[in-house]
Amino acid sequence: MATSSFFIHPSVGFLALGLALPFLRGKEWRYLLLLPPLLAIFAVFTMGMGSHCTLNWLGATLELGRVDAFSLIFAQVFAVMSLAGMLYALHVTDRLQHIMASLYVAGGFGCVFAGDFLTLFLFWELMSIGSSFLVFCNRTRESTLAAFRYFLYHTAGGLLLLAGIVMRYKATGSFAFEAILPSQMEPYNWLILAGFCVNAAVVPLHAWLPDAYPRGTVTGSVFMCAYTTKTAVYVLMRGFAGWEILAVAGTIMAVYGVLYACIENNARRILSYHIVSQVGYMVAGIGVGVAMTINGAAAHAYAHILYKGLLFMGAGCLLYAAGTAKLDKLGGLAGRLPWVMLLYMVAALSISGMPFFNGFISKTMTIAGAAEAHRTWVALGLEIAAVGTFISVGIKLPYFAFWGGKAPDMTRELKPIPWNMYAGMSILAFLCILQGIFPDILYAYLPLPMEHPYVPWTFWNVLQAFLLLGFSGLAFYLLRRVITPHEGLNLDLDFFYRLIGRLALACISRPLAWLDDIWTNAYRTVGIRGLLALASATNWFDKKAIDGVVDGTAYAVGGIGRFGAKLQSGDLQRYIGMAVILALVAFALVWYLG
Amino acid sequence: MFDPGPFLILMRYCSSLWLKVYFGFLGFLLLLNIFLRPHEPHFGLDSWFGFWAVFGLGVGLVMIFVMKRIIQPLIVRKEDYYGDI
Amino acid sequence: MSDIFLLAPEGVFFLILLALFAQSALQSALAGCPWGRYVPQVTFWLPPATVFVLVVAAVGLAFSGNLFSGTYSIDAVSQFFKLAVALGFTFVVVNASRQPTLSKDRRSDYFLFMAFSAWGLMLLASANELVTMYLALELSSYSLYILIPIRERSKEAAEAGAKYILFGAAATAISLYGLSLIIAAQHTTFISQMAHLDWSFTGNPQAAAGLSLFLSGMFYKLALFPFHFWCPDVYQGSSNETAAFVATLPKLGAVVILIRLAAFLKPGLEITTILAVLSAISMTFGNLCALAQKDVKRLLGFSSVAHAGYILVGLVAGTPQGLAAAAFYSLAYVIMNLLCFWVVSRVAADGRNLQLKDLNGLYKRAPALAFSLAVGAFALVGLPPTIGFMGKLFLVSAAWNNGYNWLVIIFVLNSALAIYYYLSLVRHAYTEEEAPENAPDTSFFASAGAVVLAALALILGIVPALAFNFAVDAGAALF
Repeated sequence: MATSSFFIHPSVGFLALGLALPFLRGKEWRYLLLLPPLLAIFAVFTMGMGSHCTLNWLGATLELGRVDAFSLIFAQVFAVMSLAGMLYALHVTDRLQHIMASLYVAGGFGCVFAGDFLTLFLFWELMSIGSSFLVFCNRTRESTLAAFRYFLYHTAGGLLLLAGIVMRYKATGSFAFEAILPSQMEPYNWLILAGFCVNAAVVPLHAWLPDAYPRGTVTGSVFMCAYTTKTAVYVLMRGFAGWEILAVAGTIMAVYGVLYACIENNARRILSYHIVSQVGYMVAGIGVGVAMTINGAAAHAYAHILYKGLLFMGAGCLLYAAGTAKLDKLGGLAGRLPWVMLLYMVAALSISGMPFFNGFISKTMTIAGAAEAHRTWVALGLEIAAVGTFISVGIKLPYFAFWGGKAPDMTRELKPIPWNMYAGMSILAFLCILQGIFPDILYAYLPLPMEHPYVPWTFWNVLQAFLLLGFSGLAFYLLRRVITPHEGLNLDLDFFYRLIGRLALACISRPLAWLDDIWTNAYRTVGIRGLLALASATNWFDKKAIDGVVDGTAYAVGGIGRFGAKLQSGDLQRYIGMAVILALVAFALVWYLG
Repeated sequence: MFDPGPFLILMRYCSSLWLKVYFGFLGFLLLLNIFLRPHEPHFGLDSWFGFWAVFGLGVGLVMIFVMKRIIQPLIVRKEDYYGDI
Repeated sequence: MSDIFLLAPEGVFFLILLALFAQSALQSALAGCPWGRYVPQVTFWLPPATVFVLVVAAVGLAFSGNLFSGTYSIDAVSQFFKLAVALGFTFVVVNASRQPTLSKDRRSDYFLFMAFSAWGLMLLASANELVTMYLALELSSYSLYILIPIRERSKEAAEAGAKYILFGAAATAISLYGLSLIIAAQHTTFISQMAHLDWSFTGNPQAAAGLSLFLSGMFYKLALFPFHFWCPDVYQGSSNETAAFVATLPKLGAVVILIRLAAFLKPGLEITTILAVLSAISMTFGNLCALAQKDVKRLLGFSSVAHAGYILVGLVAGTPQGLAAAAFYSLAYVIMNLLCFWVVSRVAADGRNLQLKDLNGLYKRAPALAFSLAVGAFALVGLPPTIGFMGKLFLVSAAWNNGYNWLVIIFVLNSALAIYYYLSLVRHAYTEEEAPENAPDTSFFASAGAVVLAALALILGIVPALAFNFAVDAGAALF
């Protein structure tokens, strides 16, 4: 496409926007929001393969621009998503959200192109900061606390990663970010894996996701659903392909997520558990490690960003218009929000793997690959998850949001949804359908070559998909009264995270408080009095002794200066006379005595 | 701009018709499954007639029932259980 | 014929001189003529022209050659100083383009003579032979004599002008007498030939005495003790913008000559010791007198006397690093002083002489100017990360252990002494509250110029390598 040396780092535009936004005046800054995504799309399509932007910093080589098939496919979908997301967020007037979203997206691009662990870590933390603020920006007590927990948790994950990186550097002497073979079971590799798994929401480290994402802003959650987890998928794909534990963990994630999604009430929490489930597909694909499953994971990531973004956008529209995302409070809205429903259904059918949509061409590749590699339980688990996905996201969510067995609700007050939200959703919906019908536009970017190309559009595949989905739908219909959502919080593993957090706090703060009490007492009785005595002694010394000497010297020097200045009498004859005499005296002294 | 809203409201009133279409579609799929089978079955069983239908229905029923009637009553708490709202 | 391009900086400058001359001479004729209105004002076209000269001088940094039978050499030293003169001249012209005490009909004359003076300094930078140096020096000085009294309705300016002329006349007379002694003793005036001759007092007393007297002319230009007496009075009497020129550019001329001569002034020679002694007295005397001053320009005048002493510290070292340090410090001095004078010119928006109390409350009235003044003051003190600190660091490291360690100690003590009066500038600007009635000029022009100069002072202080390495190579070429 272009020369191999052309490279613009797509995060440049976002960083510039994020840094410049606080200083711009007026209302026209809104139009700038779409420029970085457009620049990023341009950059992604014109960049040449290879390694760009290597810097030397404190003796380590940082590689900011490693472009190969893996990073390119992720960067491409990140760029497209950033455009849709920014378009969706165009109506938001709170600048902090835009700044943080820009920094967050910049971090995502940076991670994808990082060629070494240091760069990766830097952008990893940038993403963590950006996303914490996107949760905070709702400015309610609930969101603030959620943002705090999110940030703490991700910082802990980042620390695991950092520990692994540093130990790895000490052991191997290099920061280069390359594939780590499953046979290299050193502790530092496990630490790095753990750090990655936090962001990838691998069960049991996943509970931050359903805790934080539903509490983010309407537009912020759209960004968040795309970048954090997919960046983690990318780094796992690059670093830990073929690790058996990932195959197991991924399958567990896939099923775990849909099980919780069946019983949740908050629409965005259902979608958050779905992220866990879908990322499970990708992680399992990476764990199995053959070319078809890794390609499947990449394709799935691409498709997932598109349809998950659209799902969150749809749920976001519901939240924006109706003021709540709780399914038990919604219902009967199909007539009043028809386009939201239709666009949502495009994504819902995509995620379920319905033919004609892009989920069909990506999910089936992973499952087929797993089966071909004789990982029967993995494939089975993923099929179970597919059933659950369709039931919860494909039917339950839209049914209870838009119909719910209730009469059409004409009296409820709905905020009008601005045009840009529809525009953002339309872009993603269009792409979902386009990729579903023409799978090759996605398959062209798959990173690994396969022995035989995967063809999704076969009669059997289509039939199997329809059978699976159709009869899952029947199950829903039969148990539709059972699955009705009710208000309530379902306990998840974050119960244990909070417990551990509180225990740690108690372990540290109680002894310290006790120690502090003793110290304060001692300080008050002995310390303060002694200190005051010392202070008055020093004060006396300073005033009498030091100031006396310093001020005296200063006055003396000043006096000499005044005397010297008197030589400047203003009288020209005196000037010339003094100049000549003094000069000749100086010369003579040096000549004769020097 | 074409507004599908009123159309959707109307459709609700013929929901029983839509159900009949749906069941008919499921029957059609089963019919196709008699003739159309996979060349390379993933795990042997799935080349049997009706396997995927039973799988989808069975897994769906089990999942919904177990989660909603058995698991959820054990783990559900009130919304403000952790005190963050 | 291609040698003519080596003269590009001076040549372009000369063309500007011709244009200024034409504008000045034909001024009254143009005023009467109908299309005379279309001739642009000097203050309008001269600043861009000086920027052009600056660019040409920068391009000319790499030139080298020897013209006019060896009297005019174009080497790294000369091109460095030409660039410094061009830089200083640009800022001085921009500064002087807004001068309340300059009447409209005097403008073209004023800038003509200022340009002549600067041009003379450029010629001086390349002069490699004593008589050429003298001629260039005189060209520069005479033009400056005319410049000083140009200040509206001011008798003090005329008095300052008279003092400058007469003192200068006496100093150059001594200088010429020294030149005659040199010619008699060494039979040559070419510096390249003088390098191998004996200059010690015991070996060749006539030459030693001659050179000491010749240098007096340079000391006068540099305002070194005891030839400094004109300095505070002239700064105080002339207008603020003229003082900005007098305080900065002529020093460059004097320093370049001293650098050329210092190549053969080895440590241990009596002449070198004279330089060291005068430098020490100059620094101390200048700083002590400055402590007592209340008028800002007089304060800066005495500080110039002290800085002349500082610059000489590098010259007595006798190594290329020492010469480079002196050259770098003179450039630094020009920038720092221009910064202070820019602020002074802007604060005194009506062209009056500023007292220290006129700076009160500047941080509120004109924060950009106050900040730039603070940068300038800190640079003159020699605090990091300014260019003043870097310059002093280079001077100290070059001069140490070259036979004049006592001078370096006095240098450091004097830097401490100077802190008082430089920081009193900052103290008045930042901590004193009762402000005088006349408002400073707080336009964008004022703040922009101040900020640019302050940025130069800071950037060259943080990354001096480019300029300093060039100066070291230039100094090494002289040995």
